[in-house]
Amino acid sequence: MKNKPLSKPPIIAEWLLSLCLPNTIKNEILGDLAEEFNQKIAKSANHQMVKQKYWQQALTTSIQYAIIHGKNSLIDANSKQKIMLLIGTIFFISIYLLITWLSNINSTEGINFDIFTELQNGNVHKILTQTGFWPLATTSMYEIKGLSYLFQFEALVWTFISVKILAFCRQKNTISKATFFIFSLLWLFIPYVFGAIYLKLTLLPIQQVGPIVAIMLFSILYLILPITYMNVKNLSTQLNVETHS
Amino acid sequence: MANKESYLGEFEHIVLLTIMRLNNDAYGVTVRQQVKQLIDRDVSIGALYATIDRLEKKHLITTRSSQPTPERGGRAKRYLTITPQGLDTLQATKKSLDILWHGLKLNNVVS
Repeated sequence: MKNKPLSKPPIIAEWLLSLCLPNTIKNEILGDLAEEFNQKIAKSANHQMVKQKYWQQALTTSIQYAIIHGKNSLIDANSKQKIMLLIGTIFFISIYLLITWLSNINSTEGINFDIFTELQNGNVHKILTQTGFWPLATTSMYEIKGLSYLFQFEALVWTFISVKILAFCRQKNTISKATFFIFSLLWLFIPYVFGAIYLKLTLLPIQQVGPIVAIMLFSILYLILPITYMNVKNLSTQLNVETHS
Repeated sequence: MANKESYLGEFEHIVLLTIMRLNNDAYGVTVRQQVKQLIDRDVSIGALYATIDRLEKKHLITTRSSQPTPERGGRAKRYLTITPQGLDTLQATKKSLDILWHGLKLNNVVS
């Protein structure tokens, strides 16, 4: 250490940290990370790896302080609850409209891309970004009769298993609220991601795509509200802790 | 011991014991290294400072700043010291745990 000139940690990572950390501990955390960085640089031949490690710590710490940590975060728990509820509801309505429209397609007029090819390729989400989709979807909502089309057995089974596992994790309290949030998102999107990959790889004829797209979308439709509820409840406990501390 | 204020969480307990072990050399880097070395646990710097903050609010530790050093990019260290109240809490926690453990063997527990 004594003979080698001191190295500087990645400037952008340091800047990110100083942006996200509260003033009370900014210097201490930046100092600790810089000291560890210099110790590792002195010991290791792979400086790139040391820089990567620094970046990794900078990113996790920035996220921790900017978003997750109660009083010091940019967004407080109450606002996070509202944002989460809003996103959950918007997402639920969007997927509901998409399912309703796909169950009742009688016209693709106004949609300026090849919807069937995109479905075959597993790019179901691309439909949501088409401006022409929204007026068609809201109209189809009034045209459809009965609610039986909203029943999808495989997605219900997936939802049941996921809710059971997530409720178990919450009850056991073995993982942090942030990890639970990421974990619940994984459960939400697993059927969609796997379905999309499967469709991309197999390029099934359009007549056989329907059941897979149904599992992809219905599992999100069924799961989004329970997952939003569980995460909002988690934030309520955080809010209680903040209020009482 | 019964009230919430003096209750020690698992990680708080670990941090307090590590500060005790390090004596006059307890600060972020050494605490993390010691925890890794002794119980093979990777502690994120964010989690450590959140706990330090909590322990300080509970008056279980005090902190003081050192002189800035070049290897820290000209920044000071934040040295940690246990207060008499922190020692009392540690002792009370140990006593409670000893009572709970007394006469127990893990292989007696039938799952």
